[in-house]
Amino acid sequence: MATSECPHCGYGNPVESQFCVHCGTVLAGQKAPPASDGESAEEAEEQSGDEEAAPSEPSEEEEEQEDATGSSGAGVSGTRPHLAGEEEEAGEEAGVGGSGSGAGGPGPLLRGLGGLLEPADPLSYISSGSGGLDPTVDRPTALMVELRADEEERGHLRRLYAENLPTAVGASPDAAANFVEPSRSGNGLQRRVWLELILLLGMAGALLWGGQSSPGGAGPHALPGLEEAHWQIDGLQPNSLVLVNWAYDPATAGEMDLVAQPLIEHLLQKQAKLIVFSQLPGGPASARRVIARAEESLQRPSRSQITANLVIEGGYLPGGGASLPLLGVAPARALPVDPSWVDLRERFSIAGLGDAGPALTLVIAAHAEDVRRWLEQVQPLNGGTVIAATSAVVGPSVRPYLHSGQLAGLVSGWDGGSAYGRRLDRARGAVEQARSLRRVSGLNWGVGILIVSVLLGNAAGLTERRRP
Amino acid sequence: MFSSRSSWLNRIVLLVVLANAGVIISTRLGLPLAPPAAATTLYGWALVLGGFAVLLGIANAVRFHLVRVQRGQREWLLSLLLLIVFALVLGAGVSSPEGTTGLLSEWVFDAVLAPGQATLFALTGIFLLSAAYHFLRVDRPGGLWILAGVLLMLLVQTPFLYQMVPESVVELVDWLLSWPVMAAMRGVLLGGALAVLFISLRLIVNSAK
Repeated sequence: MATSECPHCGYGNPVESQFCVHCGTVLAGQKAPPASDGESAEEAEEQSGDEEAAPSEPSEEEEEQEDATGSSGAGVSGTRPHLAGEEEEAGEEAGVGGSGSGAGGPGPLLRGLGGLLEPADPLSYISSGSGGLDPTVDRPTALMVELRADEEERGHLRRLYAENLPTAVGASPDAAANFVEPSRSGNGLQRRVWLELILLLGMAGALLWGGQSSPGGAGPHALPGLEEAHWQIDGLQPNSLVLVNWAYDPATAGEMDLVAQPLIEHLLQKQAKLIVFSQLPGGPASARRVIARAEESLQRPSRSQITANLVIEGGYLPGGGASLPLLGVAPARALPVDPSWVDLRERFSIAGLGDAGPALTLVIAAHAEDVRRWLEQVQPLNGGTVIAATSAVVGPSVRPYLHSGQLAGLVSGWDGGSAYGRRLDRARGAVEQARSLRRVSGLNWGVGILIVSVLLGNAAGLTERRRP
Repeated sequence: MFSSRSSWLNRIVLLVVLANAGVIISTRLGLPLAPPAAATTLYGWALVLGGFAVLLGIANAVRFHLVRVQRGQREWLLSLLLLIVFALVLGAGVSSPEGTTGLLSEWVFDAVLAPGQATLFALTGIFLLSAAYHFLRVDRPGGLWILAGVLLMLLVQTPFLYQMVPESVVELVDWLLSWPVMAAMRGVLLGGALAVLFISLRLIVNSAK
């Protein structure tokens, strides 16, 4: 059977293979090695293998092709776009290192200020003329080859998605065949300027009118699980120990703060003792800010005293999923508690978690994996009650755990946080209202732009199809 | 690559690691191969290893960028900037008696890290917008279903739209989430777990190709 070598791992796949069965590299569109007269496919493969093992001098034809493409590595990078970067890096290191300590071997760690004195010129990458550092390595052409390879890969993916996927349920069978990829500059509504105009208008609108309108009304829709979460926190006794897994950082704080703050406020209202830790380096600092805002909104007289009494900062817990089970069996050994935040008495109470477990565990996560990890690796060990506060996109992914009873409550998305906030029996301050309003307005504008873009894109598609 | 001596050493180390992993996993499955205290100690070691992994990762990144600057490779200036910022942040944390809660560290977080992370993440919104414009269309295969689902979720979860959405639409979304979407998610969870189980078995019996 004729086989085709995978350009990535070298595994011999059947010629008609779309993907390499060994490493998964896309093979569609690649030809089997051409067999000349009297040569079998196996011989051609063998020959190509020998060429890879010991590259020979390029023939005249090959040299001409290389000149046409602009680089000696173009042929290889063209068939192996995913290796282009590595090859370029290797060639770069060999070329530069070759001037000092011999080609191939790594140079000394500190070898003067050569790098600083002879900096790379960024313009040389985009200009096709001279200007490169090393004449033996043609950097501009290497970059062009890389860009061309990316373009080929993108085109290949477009063809795959447009043609080779099975027809979905409800779709017309010839819809994929009729689909025409929009041109780069676009025509009519396809022109990218529409998109940019919408973005600009949206951002300007958010800045000009973002903080002026009030949501009002009866409030957003609350999905199942919110009532149960509220009930769990409301039933806590004062000084109950609550373990808080803070699984988000500033990247997702725009949405997650709106979900986390009402729950933290409720916990502080119930005078629960929070042991807060995070497996993200930016998590503890994010938690400090949200907890401080929650205390502000509760209008407590002495923030520092309350924080010292009610919040124990567990800090950053490295190790990912491997370190989580330790929290289930011996939290005192797992949590690197900052001594400046907690005295020995509190430390002792953390040790007590190993016997009785926390009264409640709150997982505040922007990604479903963090909730799953806790429910599958920690909760079976300590048997504690777990509620989760998540982003909107995580809600459907972890809702099965709510139905199975592993999750005792779930608050997800902006609407969940807002609905939870309305359940808290207190009036919000003016500053807090303004802050919340700004964020909600941001969401309004963001989703509004998205909806308009989707509608406009569909209008553009329909008009383009009708055009002869 | 390895001499015969180091090969045996590698095998012994691998066996020790495998035995420890077995002890840890067995405690989670309710089959205690070792006393709970021993398993807890092993967990503690795993935690220490995690800390060392972080340190090694940092050291590796620093070395990588040092070499890049030293050789003047492409984008060496960015590497130099990274090293300078790394040194500044490390100095701020180490020099302050409060550690990461010191004034300078807090300022770095508030003024640099938080806005930077938020900005980078916000860029995904631009990609999302562009993808929605180009590909979320009714004339693509399955596009009608995807578009209907997206618009339904946006209608229900968007702050300024919830006031004008009729209750029947909200109930429809609730039903969709509770039944078909839930069934699909359970299928994904179950399928993923089974796939991991069988791949693990194939690796253990060394039949994975």
